[in-house]
Amino acid sequence: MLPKIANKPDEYNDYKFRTWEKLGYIDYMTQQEYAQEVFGADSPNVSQALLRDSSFYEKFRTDLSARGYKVEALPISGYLYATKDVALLTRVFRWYAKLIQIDHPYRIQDPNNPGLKRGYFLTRDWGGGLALAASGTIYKYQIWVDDSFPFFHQNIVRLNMGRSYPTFDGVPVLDVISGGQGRSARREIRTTVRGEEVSFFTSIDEHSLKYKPVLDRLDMNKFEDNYADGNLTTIDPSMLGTSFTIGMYSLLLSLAIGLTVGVIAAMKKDRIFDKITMAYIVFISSIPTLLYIALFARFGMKVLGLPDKFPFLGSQNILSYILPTISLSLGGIAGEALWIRRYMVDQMNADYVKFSRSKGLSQAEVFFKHIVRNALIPIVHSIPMAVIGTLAGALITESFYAVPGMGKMFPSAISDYNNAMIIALTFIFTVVSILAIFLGDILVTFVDPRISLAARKEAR
Amino acid sequence: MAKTAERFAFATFDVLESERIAGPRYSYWKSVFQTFFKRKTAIFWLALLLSLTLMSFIQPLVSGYDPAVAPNINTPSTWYQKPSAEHWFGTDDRGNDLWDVVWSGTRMSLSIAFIAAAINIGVGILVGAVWGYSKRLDPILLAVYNVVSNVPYILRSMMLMYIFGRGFWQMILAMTITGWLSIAFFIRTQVMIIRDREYNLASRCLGTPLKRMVTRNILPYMVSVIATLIYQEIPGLINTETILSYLGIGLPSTYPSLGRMIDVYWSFVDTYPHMIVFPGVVMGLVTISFYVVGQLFADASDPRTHR
Repeated sequence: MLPKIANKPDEYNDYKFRTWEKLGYIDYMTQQEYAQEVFGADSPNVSQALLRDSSFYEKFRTDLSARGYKVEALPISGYLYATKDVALLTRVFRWYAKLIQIDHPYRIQDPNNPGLKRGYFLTRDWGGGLALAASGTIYKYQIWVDDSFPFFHQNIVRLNMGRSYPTFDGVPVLDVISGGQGRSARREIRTTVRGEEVSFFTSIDEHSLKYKPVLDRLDMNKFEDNYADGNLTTIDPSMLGTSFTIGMYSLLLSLAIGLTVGVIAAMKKDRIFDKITMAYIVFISSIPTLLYIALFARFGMKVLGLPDKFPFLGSQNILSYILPTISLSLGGIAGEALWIRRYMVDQMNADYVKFSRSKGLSQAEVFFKHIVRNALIPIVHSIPMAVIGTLAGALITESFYAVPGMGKMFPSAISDYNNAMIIALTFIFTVVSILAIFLGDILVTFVDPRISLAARKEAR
Repeated sequence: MAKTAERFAFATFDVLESERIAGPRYSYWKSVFQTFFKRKTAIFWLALLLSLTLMSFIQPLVSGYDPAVAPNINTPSTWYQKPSAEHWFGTDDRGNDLWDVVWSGTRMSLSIAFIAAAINIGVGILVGAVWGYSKRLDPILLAVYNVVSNVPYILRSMMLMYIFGRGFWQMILAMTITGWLSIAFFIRTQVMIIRDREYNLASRCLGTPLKRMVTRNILPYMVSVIATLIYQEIPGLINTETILSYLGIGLPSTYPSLGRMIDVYWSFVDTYPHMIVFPGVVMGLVTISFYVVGQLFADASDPRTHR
């Protein structure tokens, strides 16, 4: 885009300011736009106002200066334009003001389509599933059920975090993160359009269908109504989905292995197994993450013969996921093992342990019925936080293995100066971590009946 | 009788001497070092740590390596050399001696880690000590902490690097601007635990001023806690530096560093593995020795381990 207009100063200027306006950094008004605002869009006065000797120049200058704009002239044509920086707080306010978008049957106001029906109705989608659809809304399908996680989907409340720029130019940030990746997947659809049986090949995802003001012939062949503007279904899962899959499996792996190893190490304290475990923990917690991931990737590639870059085999092959998942769990294994081992070793001389031993409980009973149960409470509390840990840890793992996930998106957004994406990702990571802390507090009340979140009436 | 008077003299009553006899001979720092040096592993890792640190700070002065200058770039015969008597670690893709590159990189990473850790821990301890003591400051700082700590540390430093741009001091700033908060919070909790112990209550009743309470009563109690912080902070900061540099938002290419070395040399890992093995081993040894020495020192500085 830019090289083409780089030697056309007027267009370059206009493109620059329009982009900044789109990203929300400035307010921008050209002479033509202001004339349209003053005289009405189709008025002949608009072209009059752009003539060289028009008095509109002076009016533009005074009016927009009065509104706090900075008025300047384009270098070649001499037309005026006005810009105003948006203050930081205003930008923050605007971001939140348009964050939550609610779809309703009076959302679309199309002057060319006054007869647009408004209301909700039940229907079946192309796959035959039951769905609540609507007319007059932005999205056709409002609520539907299918076989992909989380099975129950809706389009009524959507988050708007701005549009991505310059990478994924113009695509809403959330669509970049949660939309599919890779080439589009075509499939045959059999449906009825205006009472006729039709079948066609398409890669359109019908659940993302949006209102399209002007339909062309191809749309008419596929759709009955004005909802013809859909995203494409793709073969690869979204960034969010990829990260989530890897993160969850690695969390499960680190809990399973870490807790088992930690408990065994504590039971065999100062024996060879314990020493190896401690050496592993020191190794993982001291050396840089990058180093042990690189080391493990070499091991996985040379010894196990697994791909050390995700795209070698792609998202469809399960082998691509193995090394990133294990790499991500290496740190978690060390953390869980260290915690449960230290806790159990500390508790071995506690009074309640001595008491239960003197009651005649076996060593295993003392361990699993008393110590492990107590040690698990803080671990349950930390599980949601560990989810965030995997998110943050995924930054380096995903970058190293070139996994097309959220973790890789963040550093690449930074190096591409993709501000909207950076803001959205920071927002998401932060919200997720707050929710996780909250969830941890709730979870722990289930595990430990002594903890109550409600304020007690009686004084302490 | 006269003989007795010759041989014996009346001793004067010496207050200091009586104190010394009554109290057991115990010097805190002497016991710390005694406990520490009793372990052979401690001596081994400390020696390794000192030699690595000294090497990385002295060798670059001798070699004068500068990544912006590549004198052998036009002599392909000097590229990709395997380790030899002349080039102990071999040479890299531009004919630089890897021995020089590795030590300058280590120096850069260590300098960043040292400076940032000093700031983080210094500010963290000071603020944490006051924070734990002052009930008026507590809600304010707690609110700040809750807001900031919800963003993972690595994300925060990446965001800040993005704002400040790439560079040595920018990186230190990005690491320290919020890095002290978690340390201060940790210290605050420790101070709160110790604050209301009986000996402090007594001390307060006797009118000890706040400053003296913090510096004399509480901080010495926390030497092992602080040692723990230091040994976790330095490898942690080296880790942050490598991640930032590896992702291409850390140090610019005119600076050598461990993270940049992994980034730049990783493409040669199959063809010339020595280019990645030596930086990796040095990096691993530096961080492990810091961690182990710190851990052993923290153990030794806990008075309960003293006999």
